Amino acid sequence: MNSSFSLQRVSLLIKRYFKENLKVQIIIWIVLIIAFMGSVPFNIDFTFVIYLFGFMLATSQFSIFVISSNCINYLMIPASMIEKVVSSIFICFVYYFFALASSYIIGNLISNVISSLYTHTPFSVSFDFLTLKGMKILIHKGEYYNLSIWNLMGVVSIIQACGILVQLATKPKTVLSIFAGILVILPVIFFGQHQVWKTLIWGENASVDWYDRIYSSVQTTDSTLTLLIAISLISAMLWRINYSLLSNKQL
Amino acid sequence: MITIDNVEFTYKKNTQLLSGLNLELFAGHIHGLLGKNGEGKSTLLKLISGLVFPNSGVINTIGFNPIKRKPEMLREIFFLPEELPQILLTVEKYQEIYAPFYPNFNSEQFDQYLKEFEVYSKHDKLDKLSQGQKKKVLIAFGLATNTKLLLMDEPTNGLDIPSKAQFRRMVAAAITEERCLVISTHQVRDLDSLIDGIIIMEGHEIVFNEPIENITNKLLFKVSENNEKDETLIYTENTIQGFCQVCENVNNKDSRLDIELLFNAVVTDKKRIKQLFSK
Repeated sequence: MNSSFSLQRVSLLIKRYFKENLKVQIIIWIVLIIAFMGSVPFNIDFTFVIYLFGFMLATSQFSIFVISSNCINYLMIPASMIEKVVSSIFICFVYYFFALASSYIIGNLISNVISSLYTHTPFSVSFDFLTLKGMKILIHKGEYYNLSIWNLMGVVSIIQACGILVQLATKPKTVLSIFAGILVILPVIFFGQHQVWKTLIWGENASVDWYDRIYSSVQTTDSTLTLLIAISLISAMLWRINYSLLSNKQL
Repeated sequence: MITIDNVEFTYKKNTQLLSGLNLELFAGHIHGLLGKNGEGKSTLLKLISGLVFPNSGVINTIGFNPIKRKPEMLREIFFLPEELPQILLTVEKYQEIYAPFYPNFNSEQFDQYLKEFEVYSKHDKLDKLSQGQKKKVLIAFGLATNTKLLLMDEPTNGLDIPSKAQFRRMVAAAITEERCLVISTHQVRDLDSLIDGIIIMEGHEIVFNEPIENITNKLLFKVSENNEKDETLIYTENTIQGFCQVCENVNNKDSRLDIELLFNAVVTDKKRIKQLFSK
């Protein structure tokens, strides 16, 4: 058995998380399905649900540190810290996208079945939630907007790091890290979903020159590539911080 | 099995909890760790298992540096904390999830221990059980992991009287040549005829660490009707039965160890006890 990394132990850790958080996961799935059911027929923006779900997953990973005995239980599990971080990344990313895509399809399917029953029209289901470019999400006025996987990955990794810091660090450090986290998250969300924010803040047909100029400069291939690399590096750096934080965690 | 060399530990700056700590524990023994509240017994267990890191000094736990928290070390340690963790699983699910982490876990032993503790249903959620029942499940699980090192912090707290006797029987039966058990407790009577070594912490340091055999060779425990004071007397306590005394065993008499009396004698006159055992 490899001393510091074993896939078997990682799978055991993932299994442990889902068995211990089964009820929470069921509730989350129900909320997601209902949200996506409503998003198509009622043209409601449920983008925030995606971020909220990411936040819940990231913080639920490390809520164990609030109670000392739970913390002992977690730290004494015979697995290396790298395995514990990898299992957490799996839950916050792989499972996160799987749950979002699946609940979107299920939500769509249910709402289409219900509406076809009332309107007597054949139902169609949207399977194009996940595309190569990113995630497509149907929001205001029945239009599709791309929600980049990179965008979400950056946001979730920041939330994950903040989640650990909230549990582990001292109060001033926590406040500082949350503030820094928000500073990083805001532009990512702000420019990642250009049209949504523009409509929300300035109205549907507003023309905001400075905002449009920054957005269009971000949209050039070079800038987008730079942004992707930057977010990937930030995510990797935050995972490394998470690893250090967990390794140095004491009671 | 465990060596602690000149370890210092503080939780906060300027408040030293443990200083100049030296200790060696061997396999095949059950060690009782005694001390007043706040002397650092739980901290010592946490240092051994890598849950806290020493400020200076070296700790070797079954051949590993505990602060590295290597899986090879962790799978050979089971730590039972005083405050039990919140576990939202049934006993069966708990076994299903946690047992695979311990290569030497024995399911039959686990079932046997649960039976001895009169925990019959594995379908009950651990958090719905009483504190005592939950502790029994975790003690049974810890013993069934067959880890080289078993650390128990106040394991008998919350157990009823018959369960305490069962606990003693089970622990005594679970010890092997390769295994080491460290039990920290306030309730010294619970360790009666179970442990084979006593460690006493006082003033944030280890003031006494001796095997039972040595203790009864060097000390005489007796009850006297009169409070006779001679040169050999170390400690005396007035009780309903008479005066319970701890004396130097100058004539190599046999006596039954009274852990509580020993603890009080060590705490009251540690200098004399130290001198006696260093001879």
